[in-house]
Amino acid sequence: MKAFLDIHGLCVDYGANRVLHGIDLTVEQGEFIALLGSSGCGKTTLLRAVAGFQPVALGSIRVKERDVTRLPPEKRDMAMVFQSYALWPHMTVGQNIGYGLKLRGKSAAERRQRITEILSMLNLGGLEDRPVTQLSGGQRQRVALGRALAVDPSTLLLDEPLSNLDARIRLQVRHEIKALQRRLGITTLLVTHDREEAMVMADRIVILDQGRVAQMGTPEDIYDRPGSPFVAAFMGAENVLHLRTEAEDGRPVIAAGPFSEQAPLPPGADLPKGPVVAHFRNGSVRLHRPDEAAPAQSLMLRGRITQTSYPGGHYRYAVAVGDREIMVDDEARLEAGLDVRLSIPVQALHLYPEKRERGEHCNA
Amino acid sequence: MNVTSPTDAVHGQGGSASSRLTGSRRGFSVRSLLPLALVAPALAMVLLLFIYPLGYSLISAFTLPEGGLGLGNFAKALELYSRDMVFTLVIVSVSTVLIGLVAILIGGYLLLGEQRWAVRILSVLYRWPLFIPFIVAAQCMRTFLAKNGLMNNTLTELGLIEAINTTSFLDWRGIIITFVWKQAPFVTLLVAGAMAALDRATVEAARGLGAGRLRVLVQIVVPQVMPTLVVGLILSFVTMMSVLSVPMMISGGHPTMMTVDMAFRINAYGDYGTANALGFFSYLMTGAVAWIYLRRGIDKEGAK
Repeated sequence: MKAFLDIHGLCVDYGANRVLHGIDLTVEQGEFIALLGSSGCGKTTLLRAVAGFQPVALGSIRVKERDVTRLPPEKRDMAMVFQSYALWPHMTVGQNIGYGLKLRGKSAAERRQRITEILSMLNLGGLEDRPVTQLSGGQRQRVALGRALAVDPSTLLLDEPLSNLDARIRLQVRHEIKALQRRLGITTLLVTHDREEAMVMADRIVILDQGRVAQMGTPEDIYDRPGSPFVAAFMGAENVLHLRTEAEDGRPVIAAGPFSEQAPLPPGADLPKGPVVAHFRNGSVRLHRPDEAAPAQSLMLRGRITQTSYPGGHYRYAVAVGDREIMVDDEARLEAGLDVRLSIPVQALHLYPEKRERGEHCNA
Repeated sequence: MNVTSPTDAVHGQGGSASSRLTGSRRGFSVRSLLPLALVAPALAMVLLLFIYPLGYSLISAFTLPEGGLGLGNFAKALELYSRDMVFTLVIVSVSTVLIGLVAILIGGYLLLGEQRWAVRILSVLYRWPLFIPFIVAAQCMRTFLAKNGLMNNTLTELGLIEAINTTSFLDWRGIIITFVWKQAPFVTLLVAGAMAALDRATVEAARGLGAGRLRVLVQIVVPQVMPTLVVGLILSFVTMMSVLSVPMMISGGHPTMMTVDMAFRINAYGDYGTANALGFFSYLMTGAVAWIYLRRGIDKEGAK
C-alpha cells in the first residue's frame, strides 16, 4: 500500500539559506506524527511547506499519490490550526466554523447542522452566536480546531496549538485533540517543541535538527533508543560523561577512569574501541553511601553532592564527578557536601563514539 | 501649496504652538497646573483660530445683507448653487468610493502578492503622489487629460482611438481622476499599515480552508481593517470637500465645486454671507459623514 502523505527529498530555502535539507517522510492514513525539535530546527517550515505557505526549492509532497508540491494552499485539502488561534475576530463562533463549509457551497441548513455537530463534539454547545473575542484561550483553540475539522480535511496540520494555553488547560486540550484524532482517524501532523506533548499525542515522532531528520520512530523507540547524542539529550538524557572502551579478555568493556570503575558494555552495544560519550537520565542514577555495596551490571562513579532541591516526589541532586556535574533524581534524603557513589545500570547508558577526537578514531 | 479651507489649516497648527505658562509657583503647586499649561496653547489656538471664526462664519451666514438675522443667504446659495452642491457631493462621494477600492486593491496586493519583486516595486511607487501638492497634481492632470494631452496622444499613437474622436477629460471625470490619484496613496498608506499589522495566520487559515486570494481579501482582510479604512476615507472626504485648486484648474466652468463658488462670491462680490452659507452646507455634508462614522463606532461598542 502506498503512503497517504509522502514527502520526498524536500528542500526549502529562505533567500540564500537552505533551512530544510532533503526531508523524507511517509505518513500512513490516520497516523498522528509529531515534528519535534528546538526552535529554528525547521519543524514549522516543514509544516508550512506541506500546507503550501512555504515555497519548496526541491523535492516533492504527495497526498494520496497526487503531487501537491506546487499547488496553492487552498487546493491542498488540508486544514491548519495555529498557535495564535487565528480566529477571524469579525465573525461569531458559528461563522468561523462554518466558513470552510460556505466555501464548499454547503446550504445554510447543512452548515447549521454541521456547526452544531462540531460544537457539541468540542463541548462548546450554545456558543454558536458568541463573538470569538469573548472566548477564553482554551475555547478559542477549540473553535480553531472545530473550524479545521468542519471541512473534513484530508490532513490536519497543528502548529504548536497548545503553546499559548496555560498549563492546566493545555493538558486538557491536548487530551481532547488526541481523543478526537483517534475517533475521526484523521491524518495529523503536529509541530511542537514540547517533548512530553509529542510523546503523549503522537504515534510516531520525527526529531528535526538543523533542517534534517535526526531520528524518526515511535515514542518508545526514540525515548529508549536515541540514535545520536543530540536525540538523547533532546529526549531528556542530559547527563553527559566522556568514557573509554577497551578490550578485556577479548570482550569490550567500559574502562575505569579517574572517577569511574570498569563496567560491562550494555547488551547489544556495538562500539569501536576508544573514547565514547555516555548520555543518561537523572532518574536512572542511584545514589549510594561510600560503604554501600555496588549493584551488578552498573557503571559506578564517585562524586560529591553540591546541591539539593525538592521538585516534588523525589529529591534532585547536583553531584560533582571530577569536573563534570551530574544531575540525579533519588528518593533518599541526603545532605549537600556528602561524598557518594553513583550507580547507573548499563542498560540506561546511551553510548556513542566520541566524534570530537578525530585522531583517536583514525588510530582505532 | 495645499489649497484647503482655512478651517483645515487650523488642525495642522493647533498643536505646534508652544508657550510656557509661568507664575505657577505662587499659591498652587506646579504639578497641579502643569497639565493645564500643556493644554493651554493648543486650546487657545483652537478657540482663536477655529471656534471663533467658525462662530463668526455661522453668524455671517445667518446675517442678511440688509442687516438682521434670516435665511436669505441660504435661499440665495440654494437658488444659485444647488446644482453645484449636488455636483460636489457626487464627485466627492464617487471619488471616496474609488479611493477605497484602489486602497484595498493596492494594500491587498502588498499583503497577498506572491511576486516579491512586484510587491517591492509597488510598495515604493504607490507613495509618490503623497508628496505632490494638490495644485501640482491638478497641473499634471491638465497636461495628461486634455484633448490633445498625453493620454489621448498615447491612445492615438497606439491606434486605439482616432485623433478626431478624442475628448478632453477636463471636466467632472478629470476632477475625480485627480482626487483618486492624489488621495488613494494616503488611504493606502493607512490601510496597508493596518493590513501588515494583522495576524497573518488569519489569512493563512482562510487559504488553508480553500479561499482564494481575492476572497481572502474581501472576506477576511477588509473586514478586519475596516475601522482604519473608514477613518482614511472620512479624512479624504473632508480634504476633497475643501480643495479649491483642483476644480479650479481642471474644470473651472459650470457645473463646478462649492469651493470655487465660495471663492467666487468672496473675490468677485465680497459676498461673505452667501459664501458662508455655502460653507455651512459643506459642513453639513462632512458632518453627516463624521456622524455615520461615530454612530458605527458606538454600535460596535454596544455590541461588545
